Amino acid sequence: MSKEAKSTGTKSAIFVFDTDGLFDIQGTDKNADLSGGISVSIGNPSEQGSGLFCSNDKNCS
Amino acid sequence: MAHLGNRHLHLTILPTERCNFRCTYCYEDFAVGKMKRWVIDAIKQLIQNRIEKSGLKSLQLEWFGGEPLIAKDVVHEISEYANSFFKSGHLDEFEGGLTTNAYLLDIDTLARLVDHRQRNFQVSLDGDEDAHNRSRRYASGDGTFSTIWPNLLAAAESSLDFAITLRLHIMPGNESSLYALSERIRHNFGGDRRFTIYLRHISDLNNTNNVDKVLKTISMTDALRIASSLEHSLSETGFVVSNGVGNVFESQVKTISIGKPGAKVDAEAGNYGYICYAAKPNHLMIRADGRLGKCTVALNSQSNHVGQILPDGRVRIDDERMNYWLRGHANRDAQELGCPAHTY
Repeated sequence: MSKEAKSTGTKSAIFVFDTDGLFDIQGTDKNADLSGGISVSIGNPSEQGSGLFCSNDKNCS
Repeated sequence: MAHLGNRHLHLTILPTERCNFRCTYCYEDFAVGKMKRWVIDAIKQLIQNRIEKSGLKSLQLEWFGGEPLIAKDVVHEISEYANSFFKSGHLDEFEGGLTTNAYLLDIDTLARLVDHRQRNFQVSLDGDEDAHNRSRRYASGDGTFSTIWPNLLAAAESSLDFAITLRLHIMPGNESSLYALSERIRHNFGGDRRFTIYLRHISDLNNTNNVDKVLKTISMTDALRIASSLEHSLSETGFVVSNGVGNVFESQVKTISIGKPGAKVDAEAGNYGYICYAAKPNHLMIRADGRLGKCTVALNSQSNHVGQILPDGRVRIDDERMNYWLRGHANRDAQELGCPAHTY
C-alpha cells in the first residue's frame, strides 16, 4: 500500500483500496475464506484473464 | 495469484463514449465525449506509478466505448506508452484488445495496434449485408457492411498476428442472412486460425436507441436452433466456435435492477466457473471523463460509479461501492462472481 493510502472503507468493506488502486483485504475472520475463494477462482481453467472477450465459453460483453 | 493480485492490473478504457454507429439495440446514450488530455495523462501516470512504485508485472488493456477507434489517437498513445514498459522489461506481461465495430479498423490502424500488442478484437456482425445494415447502421442511417467487410478481408490477407472474434448476433428476421454470412466467412476466413466465432442472441440491455423503445428479441428456442446450425457448419470448416446462446450472464444483466433488493434473475443458479472482469479487485473501468467503474453494461447505474482518477494518476475509490462488485469473493457465490451486476 502506498504512503498515501487512505481507506474510505466502511464496516462492511472487505477489499480496501489505496490511492494507487492497490487493494488489501480486511476482516480477519474472513481472510481465510477470501484467500481460498481467490485461489479457487484463479485455479479455474476457464479463467483466461481475457476480459471483455472472455475467451472461454461464457462470453459476457 | 497473478491475475487477481496487485501485480496484475486490468484496465478497461473508454477513450470516447461517442459512437459512429446507431445500432437499433444499443444500450448506451453516448453522453460523454472524447477523453480529455488530463485523463489520458492521468492514466499514463497511473500505469507508471504502479510499475515503478508497486512492482506491477502484468498489464491488460481493453478498449471499449462508444466506438474506441473514433478516438484511435488515444488508444495509440496509451497503448504505445504501456508497451514501452513491456519492451524495456518492466512488465512481464502486456496485452490488449478492442471491442470495435471495425468501421475504422483499416489495415494501417490494425498494424499499428498489433505493433503495440493490442491484438484481440471483437467485431459484431448482424448477418450478411442486408440484415447487418438494417440494425448496425451508421449514425447517418447508412449501411456499414461495405466498409467493415473489406477491413476484415485486408486483415485476413495480412500476416499480422491478431485474434479477431466475429460476434454473430441472432435476432428476429436475420436467420437466412446469418446462414449467408456464415458461408461468406467460411469462404474468406476458413482455415485462418486468427478468426474465431462467438454466437449470441440480442437481449435487452436497457436499450435507448431502438426507434420504438421496445426491443424485439428472438425466442430462446429459435436462438438455440439457429446457433446450433451455425455452430455445426462453422465448426465443420475448422473454426473455433463459442456458442453463447443460453449463457445466462449477459441476458441476466437487467441494469435497471441493480441495487434493488429482491430483484430476481430469470434463470436458475448454477456453477458457471467464470469470474467477470467486474468482479475482479484489480480491474478498473476508466470512463472518458475520468470516472471509475466496474461494468461496461451498467454504465449509468450509480452503483457503477466507484471512484475517480485524479490528474496526478492517483485514484479515489469508494470502498463500499467497490465491494458491491466484489461481494462474490466473500460469499463464493458463482453467480455473483460471474455477473455481479445482477441481484437476487
